[in-house]
Amino acid sequence: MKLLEVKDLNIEFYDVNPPQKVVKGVSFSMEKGEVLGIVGESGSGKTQTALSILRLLKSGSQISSGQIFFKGRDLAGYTREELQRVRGRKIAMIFQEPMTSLNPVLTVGSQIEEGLLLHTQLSPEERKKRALLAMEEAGLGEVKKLYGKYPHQLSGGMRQRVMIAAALVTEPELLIADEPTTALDVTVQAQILELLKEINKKHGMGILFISHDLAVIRRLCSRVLVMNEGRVEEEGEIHKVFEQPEKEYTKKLLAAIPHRRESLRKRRRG
Amino acid sequence: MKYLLKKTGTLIITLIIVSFFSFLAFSIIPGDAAKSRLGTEATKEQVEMLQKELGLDKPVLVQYGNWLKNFVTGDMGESYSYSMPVQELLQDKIPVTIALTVMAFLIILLLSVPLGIFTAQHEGQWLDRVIMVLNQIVMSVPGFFLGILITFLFGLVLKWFTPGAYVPVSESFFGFLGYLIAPSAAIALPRCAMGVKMLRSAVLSQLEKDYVRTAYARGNGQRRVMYRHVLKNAMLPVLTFWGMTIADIVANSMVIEQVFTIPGMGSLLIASISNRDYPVTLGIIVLVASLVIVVNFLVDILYGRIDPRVRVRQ
Repeated sequence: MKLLEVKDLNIEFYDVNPPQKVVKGVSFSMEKGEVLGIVGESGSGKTQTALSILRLLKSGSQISSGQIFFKGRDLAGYTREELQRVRGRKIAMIFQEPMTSLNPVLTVGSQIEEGLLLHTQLSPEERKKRALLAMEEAGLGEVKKLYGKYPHQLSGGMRQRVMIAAALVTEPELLIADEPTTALDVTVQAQILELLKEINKKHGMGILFISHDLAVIRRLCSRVLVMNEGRVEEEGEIHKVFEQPEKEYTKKLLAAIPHRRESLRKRRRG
Repeated sequence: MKYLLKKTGTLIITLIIVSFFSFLAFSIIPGDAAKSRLGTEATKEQVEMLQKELGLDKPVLVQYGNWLKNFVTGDMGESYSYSMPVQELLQDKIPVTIALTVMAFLIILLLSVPLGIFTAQHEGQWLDRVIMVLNQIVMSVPGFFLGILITFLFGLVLKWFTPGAYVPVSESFFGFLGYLIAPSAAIALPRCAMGVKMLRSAVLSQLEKDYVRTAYARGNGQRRVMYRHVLKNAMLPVLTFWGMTIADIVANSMVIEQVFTIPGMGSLLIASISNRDYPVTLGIIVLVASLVIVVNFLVDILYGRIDPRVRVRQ
């Protein structure tokens, strides 16, 4: 059974006149423990696709047709309560802006623990223990001290680690990461990617990784989906897409990656 | 600790400024205490004698200095028109005004918080629209006019209370509170409408925030997102508004007390201003000013309790 299977997904913004289709017939699937990348420019529909899986689309947009199967069950048929049990427990999500994705008036610890509070019957002590473990795993040092801190006391990279810890704590089977490194410095970005890789290996957690940055996708994913204007342009093994892209659009995207060697050569010449 | 000292300093400085300007105002407006006390029949000599007795012949600054000196030692002076110490005069009035203020404030809290949350949750639906239109109307009616309407409707037409039949606390505690319901509602409603609007828009703007999406993604239900995540954030701007509301209620109660013939500080203040009875007036002004400052101080502390970002800066 596939971990995730999206079939002919269509999403539209219905509060504009005429309604605008932003995702047009997107289909893809993921195996258990796989790391799948979705790459595309802003406006390509990749974030809408990611949000629609947990039905977190903003009001004004909706899935107009299509199915999303998670372990063989169509999420579209879930009631609100059933959906709440999937969110954060089976499928967790992290977002682009670590600065604003955490609640500013709640402690880091309570936000990491929240998944356990919502989805398990664990005692407060046990919850704290697991939260501290998840924080350690997410690469946060001095976890006991950090536990009682507030988001504004942390750097962007640390906040994203907190988001990851909060996602990890319930040991979900799928992590949806929507541009989690875009807002971070390059060095921090590399650390977070390493962290996600480790987590994937250790827990066999599937990761759906959304980014506009092909270079980032290449470091993490085994397979990639190239999206453009709401459609899937190309899909395939990461090496194949990188070395022998079939579509013009993919070639253009690849050409846009600044190449280190080339730029070095240019600098020497100039 | 440092914070507390700073706030106390602010309190003292504000009180000095407020009392000084009130003093100045008295020296500018025509008429004086001696004349109003002796009446129109008094001779010039009598007036001058009384002025000398009361210290009104001295320069304003000296008069103010004397008043301040006495005030610091706890002596607020003696009323010119009632010939009794200001403290004694205020003693029975303060509880009345405080009861009125507290009641009005409770009405504001108990009405505006649920309504603010409710309208935000049902934004754009017909019930929200009806409430917001009513809200707009109530907001634009001045409190004293609302007081007259309430007196007419509930007092004269429905006969739920007898207008003007004030019940002192000494007579019946519940009768006293019962009589205060109408006036406090008159003070509270316009402010309450503002509170609904503020909380509604604060909640709505918070609902747009990224952390709300995170909360949903974690498996929170709507109710928990509202009460655990959104409300605490939305309360911050509203808290400041509530602090200012206290000052507004006190100011409004001065007028409303007239409408409902309640013998609180408001009636006394207005009487003492027309009598040029500055010890009483200043006493009341200083009291009200300190009340407002203390409440704002409490709001600041509460603010810090809710918002960790403020707490750290302190």
